Amino acid sequence: MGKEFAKEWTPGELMAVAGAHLIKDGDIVICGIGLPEVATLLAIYTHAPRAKILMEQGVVEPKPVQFRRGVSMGLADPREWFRAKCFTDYIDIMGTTLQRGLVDIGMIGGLEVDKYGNVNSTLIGSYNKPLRYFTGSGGANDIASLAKKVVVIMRPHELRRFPERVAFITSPGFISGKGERERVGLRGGGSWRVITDLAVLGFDEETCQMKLLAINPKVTVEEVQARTGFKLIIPEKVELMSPPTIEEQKIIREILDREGLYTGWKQAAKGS
Amino acid sequence: MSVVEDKLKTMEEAVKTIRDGDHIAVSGFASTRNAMAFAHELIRQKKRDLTISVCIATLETDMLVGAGCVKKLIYGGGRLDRFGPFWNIDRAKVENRILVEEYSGLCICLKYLAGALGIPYIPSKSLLGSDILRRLQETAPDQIKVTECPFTGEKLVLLRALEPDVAVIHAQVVDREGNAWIYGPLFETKEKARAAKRVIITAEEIVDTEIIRNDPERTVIPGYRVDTVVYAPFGAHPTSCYKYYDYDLEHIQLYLEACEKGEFEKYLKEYVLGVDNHWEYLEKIGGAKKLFSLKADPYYGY
Repeated sequence: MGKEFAKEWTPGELMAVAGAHLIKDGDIVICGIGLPEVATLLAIYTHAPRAKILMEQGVVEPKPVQFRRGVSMGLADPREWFRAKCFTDYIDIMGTTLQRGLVDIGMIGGLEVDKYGNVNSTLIGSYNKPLRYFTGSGGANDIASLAKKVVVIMRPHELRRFPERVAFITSPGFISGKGERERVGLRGGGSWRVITDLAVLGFDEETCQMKLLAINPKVTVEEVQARTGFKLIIPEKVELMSPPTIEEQKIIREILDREGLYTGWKQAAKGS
Repeated sequence: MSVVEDKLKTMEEAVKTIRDGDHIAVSGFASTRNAMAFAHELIRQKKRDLTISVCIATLETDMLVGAGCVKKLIYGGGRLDRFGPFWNIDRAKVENRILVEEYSGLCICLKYLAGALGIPYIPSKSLLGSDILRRLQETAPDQIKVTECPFTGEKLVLLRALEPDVAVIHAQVVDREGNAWIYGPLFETKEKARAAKRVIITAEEIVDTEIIRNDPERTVIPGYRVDTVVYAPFGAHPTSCYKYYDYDLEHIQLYLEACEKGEFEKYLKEYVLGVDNHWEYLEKIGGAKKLFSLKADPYYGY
């Protein structure tokens, strides 16, 4: 397998690749549509053919399609269910698999993530004075509570999405620090990685605070910090996020995101 | 000789059995398999003070909230997939026009499961440490408790059982007795149908019971749990119905634009209150030509 890298790529492709590289062969992954799904399927199509993709509405190992009369609109869209190995139900995925402790990686998105990896997908404003409501949990709280490792996909990487403290904890990360998950009785491992268009972040083992791990090769550590609303832990050595290989990019562009909806490649190609 | 009970009613008759203040578990999951025709008739019959419950919010939920039929919403969040947000629900929440008990998706399913099993509550390991839990403890302390397991000592969230007065389920196929075939993933369909005191099935097709007996493994809700059967072809429009038809992108966009611009009332007048029944609605949204354009390809199922 040649490791030749694509010469041009989009931030979305960088994120998809970063997500894919977190998945090991054989992992059980729960994700929703968008970049989490592209990342999971990319792993399955490349280095992790035995990883399993599960979806909360009750779909096991589908091969989602983005053709014939338009693109997929969400987990409720039969385009997402295409060629699945099993149709089951919500409790079977989120209860007997996730709560049972069998899910290795859960991927969630949201409006905000804070330094302890708590995610808000419920409201903007404040807990007591909401200005507007959004999606809420769906399966996100269950995934954050119960998956062994949680990957948060967040973009764009900007100040308002990275506050010191989220306005509402929809999905708990480390809540307010080390030992808090255990104290409130949570089983899962909590936030493990945050993937943005600028960086891949993790969490310090001692403090459970967000730590920079790798950056988009086109930005600097200073830029990432400047667009984060709290002080990041910055190790001496920060890696560069891996650009897509030619093989990975081909899979993204020809199979997983043909219209560029999530990785933006088609739109970028038009723009240049 | 076996007797086939005939539970077939018209939509108008079925909706007449709903009382103001009833708790209805609605059918769909976001933009698929919503019992839209039923929701339209609830709006036409001006039902009020309903409690609506569902795992992931649906178009039917948003429309009922917008039409002023709903007093309380019990759900696990959600949006209309990538089509857009649920404007009516999200605004009613900010303006405190409805009571809301908001959980996670799994917790709603577990609450139905407890109801279905006839037990008063069920423990869960979700919600701990979240503001979802905090808000529920403040606003619905009689519905949720945090406690320690009497066997292991670990922290548990106890969720009060849900027992809706009625579950309305849109199915692909049903017989007159109510044996319902449902295709595609099931979301929380089984649990909510079994938790409810009464079940109403609306369906794309009504078949003979002998057809059901040929393929009983397809039956998701057996007839003995069902009270009423309603024939409602394209009854999920504009949401999708797996193996029968795709969502109607054009109509959903029209709905969302109306909501976003504050013109939901106009939409309601035109497509719901302005028609007498489901058949007129199907003409209104484009008739045979539109409906055939949405028909599912048997290979893809949409």
